[in-house]
Amino acid sequence: MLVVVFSLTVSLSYCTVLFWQNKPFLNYFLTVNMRSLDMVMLTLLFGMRVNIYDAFSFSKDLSFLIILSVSKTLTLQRAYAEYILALKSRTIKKPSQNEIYGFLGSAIAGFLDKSLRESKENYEAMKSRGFSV
Amino acid sequence: MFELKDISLKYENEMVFDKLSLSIKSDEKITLLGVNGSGKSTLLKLLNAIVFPRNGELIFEDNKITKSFLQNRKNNLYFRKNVGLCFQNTDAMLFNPTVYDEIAFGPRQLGFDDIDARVKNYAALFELENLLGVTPFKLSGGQKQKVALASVMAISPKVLLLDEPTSALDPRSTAKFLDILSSLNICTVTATHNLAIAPELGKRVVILDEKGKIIFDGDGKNGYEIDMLIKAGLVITRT
Repeated sequence: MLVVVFSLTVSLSYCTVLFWQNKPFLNYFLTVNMRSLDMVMLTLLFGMRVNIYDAFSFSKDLSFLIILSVSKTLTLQRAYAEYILALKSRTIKKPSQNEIYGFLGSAIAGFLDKSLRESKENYEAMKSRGFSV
Repeated sequence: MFELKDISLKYENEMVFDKLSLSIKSDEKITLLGVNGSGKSTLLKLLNAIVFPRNGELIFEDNKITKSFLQNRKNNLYFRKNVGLCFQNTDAMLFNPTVYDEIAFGPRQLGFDDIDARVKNYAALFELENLLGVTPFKLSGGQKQKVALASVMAISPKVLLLDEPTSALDPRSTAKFLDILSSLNICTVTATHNLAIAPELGKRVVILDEKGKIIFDGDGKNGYEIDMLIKAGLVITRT
């Protein structure tokens, strides 16, 4: 959904400008969107066919980096989903736009803080089991 | 084995310990009790030389453990092989692509030869054999805790530091873990605020109050009174 909205926003704004300048925009619209579709499909295909952990297993450091990034992303994703559910369970009436911005702001700050703390602890845990750089 | 002399420590800008002293013998099993924020986890990190004191000395087997001592690779290997820490936040300990690699991480880093045997042995001990190929961060909370415990125990340290090791385990797994712990012939220091299992974690009990001060250190079976637990905030009186 986000991809569609993003693609449409970029394409339509670009096409509007070209339209005002009396330049052909249909070719551009088709080319850019076909390219986006190609890239998305290739990425999905890559994700399905290639085990990303195995792909980077030639380098110990890269492998760690990938695992840490993926695990952090998934942990934060899970935390965000739970945050939204907790918010819904404690909200009786629909929050105003300002309240939503406030919740989002504190969520982003919270996740950033959590991420920094956990990265530090990750490194401590690695050191504790003999990892040294 | 361990000697902490007049340790003062600030952690994340807060004074955690002020002139704390503690002595740990090689065959002791210690239960570390205290409420949230009393400094249990920090004390374990200090014993594992992950954090260092501002003042005071940490001595392990007659070696003064400092940052510069551990910068020497040989010293670092010696200390890490002998002292293992299982973190409270098990997510922090899981950063490998599979459970197998996670358990093998410590032995690999520390240069053990029998890595495969160690992994299989500790995976069997914690009933993780069927999960060896799974990515650790996809596991349930209890399974993650088992992987974290197996990962530290695979190093076979002389001192095992455990921070709330049963917090995510179900009653059956907790009982199994307590059996494993009591069968180990090594020094263990286990932090908990769970009074139900505290007597089984160690004969010697050290209680920290909310300011990180030791208010009791002795035999847990008949040593401390209920007043001590109330003082530590571990037992609450309600009217």
